[in-house]
Amino acid sequence: MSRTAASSRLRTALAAAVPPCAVLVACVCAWQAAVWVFRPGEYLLPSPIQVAQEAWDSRATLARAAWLTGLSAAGGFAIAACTGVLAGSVLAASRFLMRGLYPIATLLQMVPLVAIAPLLVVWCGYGWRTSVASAAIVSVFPVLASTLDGMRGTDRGLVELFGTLRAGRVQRWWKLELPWAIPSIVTGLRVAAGLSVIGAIVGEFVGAFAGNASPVGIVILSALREHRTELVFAAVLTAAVVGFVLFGLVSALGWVALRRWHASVG
Amino acid sequence: MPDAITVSGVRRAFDDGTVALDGTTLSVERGSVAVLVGPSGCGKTTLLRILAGLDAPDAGTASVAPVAGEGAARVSIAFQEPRLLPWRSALRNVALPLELARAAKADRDDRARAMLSLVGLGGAERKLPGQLSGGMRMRVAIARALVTRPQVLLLDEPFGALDEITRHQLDDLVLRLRAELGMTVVLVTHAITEAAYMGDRVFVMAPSPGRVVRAFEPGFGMRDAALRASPRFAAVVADLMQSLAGAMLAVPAGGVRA
Ligand SMILES: Nc1ncnc2c1ncn2[C@@H]1O[C@H](COP(=O)(O)OP(=O)(O)OP(=O)(O)O)[C@@H](O)[C@H]1O
Ligand SMILES: [Mg+2]
Repeated sequence: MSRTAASSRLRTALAAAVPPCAVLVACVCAWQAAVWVFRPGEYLLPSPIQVAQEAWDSRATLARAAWLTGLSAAGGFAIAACTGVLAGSVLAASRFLMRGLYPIATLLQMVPLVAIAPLLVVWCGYGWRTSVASAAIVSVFPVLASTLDGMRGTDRGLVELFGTLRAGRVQRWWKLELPWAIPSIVTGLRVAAGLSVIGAIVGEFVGAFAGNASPVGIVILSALREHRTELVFAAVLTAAVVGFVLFGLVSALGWVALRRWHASVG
Repeated sequence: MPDAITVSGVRRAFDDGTVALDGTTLSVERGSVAVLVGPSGCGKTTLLRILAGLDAPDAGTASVAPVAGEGAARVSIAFQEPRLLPWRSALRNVALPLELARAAKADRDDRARAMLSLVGLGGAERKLPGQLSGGMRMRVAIARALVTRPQVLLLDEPFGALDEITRHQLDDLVLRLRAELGMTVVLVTHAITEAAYMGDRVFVMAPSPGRVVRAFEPGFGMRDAALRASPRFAAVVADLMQSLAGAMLAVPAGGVRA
């Protein structure tokens, strides 16, 4: 690629980053101003400066929490990605299964995670397993749905071509339907990446116990108990960062996978 | 030469009551180019799909005879559109039939490479379909159809979407490949000049129901640019045009001359 093309791409990326950053800075300033003007109690609404101070002071705790929650979320996401793509493929392959199972999957997906989270503790016990399971459960449906949609949209002409070439069912899946569905699957995976962090924290709320290794959910719970609202804020921010990193990683992987597609389609 | 393709009394009616083909009879000599020409909807694609095994007749028989000493006949079809996998390079698109048949990797790459250079795309192996022109994509599709060394090549209006100059080039390419690889070719078209130029035998078809109303042999040996400009070519085109005009009038199925 030429240098000018690379630098113009960088410029586009910067141009895209400026508006959200500006909005973010404006919001933080407004927050700080509101705290100065209305002076709510610190335990109600700490100022951004206090939150930043607390985040810095508790950086070791927060970093460890981010790492632990990130691992649970990533583990749950990985399970959801594999299960979702496989289940979506199976449903896409069989009209019968799709008719029978997809409506049920859609219904199950509407059961609130918080309602079944306590059950997960019964099944998986206290600790990281519950967080992983909870992360996997919330993020599996978008992957399944996007896989199913992508595969069902496979070009009829190409399916017919594979028929004339006497391709087996597995060959058709691996060499045609799966690559065809990749743009759609990547979209589903990105949604799932964000959800998995939420799932992991819900799992921690119900199932993790405070030890010397506290994930974000536990940091939030114990900070609440100690009325350290600024630490709650700092922990919530940490959770957002974990989600952002996971989302970014998945997007980057997706971008690599899609480059071929875009090169060929565009 | 024996016949490679025999179609006799084929009828194909779809569920919605459309009779795409009825009483269609024709035969194609091995190693020759047969052209099916006719107005839209006269069952050309349906007949080709039956020959490719993608569809089956409701009555009558359609068979492709294998070359003596070989098992089943190898039949390849190239569709009206290139139907390439957009994420695969030209080379890997051409290698696809061999890959699906589980040929060894080195072997299939060699054969795909050879086929690509045969269709004049030696330098485009690594290009993705999106980076190729329409005519180049069609060449890739033909290379893919040829890579399994078919005995019969079925072409469904392969160059219909291309400009006339490219179409002439690709027509000549098909004739050359036919000579080099020794296959039987069935070409569907609704371009009258293409039918006259390409056909060792031309079958004129009429719609509702689809059937063959005339079979004739233009009798051109060498085909080149000079032929296209010659008066005898113009005469054949005029003759064909008249048959097609006749075919457009709803002739009852009883009046078939095939
Ligand atoms: N799957 C199908 N179901 C119902 N009718 C069909 C089907 N396929 C084709 N037909 C009908 O059969 C008739 C012949 O179709 P066919 O595609 O063979 O025509 P064609 O000669 O190839 O036309 P064209 O030159 O436009 O490609 C048409 O009337 C068409 O509507
Ligand atoms: Mg057609």
